[in-house]
Amino acid sequence: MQLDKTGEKRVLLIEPSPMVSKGFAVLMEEINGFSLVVSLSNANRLPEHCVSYRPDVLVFNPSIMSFQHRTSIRTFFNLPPAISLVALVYSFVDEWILAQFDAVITVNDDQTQMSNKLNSIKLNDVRTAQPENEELSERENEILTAIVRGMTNKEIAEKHFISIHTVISHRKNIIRKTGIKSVSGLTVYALLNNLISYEDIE
Amino acid sequence: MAATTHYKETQYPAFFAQMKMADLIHANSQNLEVLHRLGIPLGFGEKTVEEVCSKYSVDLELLLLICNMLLNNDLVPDKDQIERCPILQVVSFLQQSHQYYLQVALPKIHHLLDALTATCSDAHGKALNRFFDEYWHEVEKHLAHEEQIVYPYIQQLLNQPKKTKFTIQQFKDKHANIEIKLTDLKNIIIKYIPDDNSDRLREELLLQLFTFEDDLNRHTLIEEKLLVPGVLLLEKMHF
Repeated sequence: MQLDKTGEKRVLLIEPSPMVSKGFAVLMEEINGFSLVVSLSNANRLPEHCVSYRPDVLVFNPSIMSFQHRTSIRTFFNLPPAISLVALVYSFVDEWILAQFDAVITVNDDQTQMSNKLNSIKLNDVRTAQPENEELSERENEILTAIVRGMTNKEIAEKHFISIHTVISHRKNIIRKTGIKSVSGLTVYALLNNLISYEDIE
Repeated sequence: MAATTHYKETQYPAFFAQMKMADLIHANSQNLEVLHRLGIPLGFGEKTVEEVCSKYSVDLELLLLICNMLLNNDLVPDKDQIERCPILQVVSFLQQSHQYYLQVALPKIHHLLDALTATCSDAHGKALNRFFDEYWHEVEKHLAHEEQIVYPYIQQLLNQPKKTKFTIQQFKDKHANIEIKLTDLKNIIIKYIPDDNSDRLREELLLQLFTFEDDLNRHTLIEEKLLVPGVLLLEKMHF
């Protein structure tokens, strides 16, 4: 059951506590411009849910993530950049974890505060946005080849006359598009796509 | 399921002492691996969970707790449950899953990957095999750390006051992420192996990878929610 009221931003909630989740849903009803399309109690199959519910905003309780994944929520779930991330917290959460979110709603917030916070995030319209080209660009392939040849970010930056910051952002895009995080995995990718030959890595 | 209707008042948690052991498996096939790893063989006829547990000297509460946790991943055991939990049986349960990974799951995946790489070009095949060998080695290393450092530490903690500097907190922190390469491998097989006639093989391999991943996740769940809190309690007793 999807409540696709026209023009409303679609919100997906992940919250383990049924009490908090029900309360959130009640408060959301009164907030204009947003509608809660689904509440989930855990993040199992989150990428699939993102495909079927097409949320604009993901409200997420970071405590449901196991500690080793909390540092990279976006990469872990391979979330498209168009989806905004909002934290829902009711216990202490480290600053550096919260830094990944576009806004933080706490359990003590009233409706006005919730509404202000939701409206404060710069929303990208998932539905009207041009689908991003998911193929690796020429440049990304070059950077990827350099990575699997064992070059450091600094060396890659110098060779291609770009900043280290740009190298890192290319790396992030390569990982997001391919879904491959390890250098040895990227090496197999490069081989299968004939960017390098087996002799290069032996 | 017929048996559950008799026990309406105790439907939550889903699994309980007086139900038939056979129904426990019908209700959730993941329980099959739990029984095996706790050392309970099949063939229990009409016996209840409680009867079977006592026959094989398996802690009844632990078995139910694990089964209920796997069914409902949000379930967190309370302090009393953790206190009563026979930690060595948890360790042996985890060790049994290690055995399964190294002796059954990974060889099965390796076998399928071998068949798949036979259909690839030489260089592609070699690269895939090399990647998998690296992954296997990483899993082995991770499991060996638990077998050689973490489990003996727990054993020793039960027998005498703390001597070593190691604490279970370090295990929590060190708990290396062996999922990354598994996800990488899945993506490589789903997206990047050139299409040819090996589709059936590829699907089978992927299914095994997904199954293995789910199993690892359940393993981590038991470590995080049962083993670590249990050892934390033991450590406290020694201070």
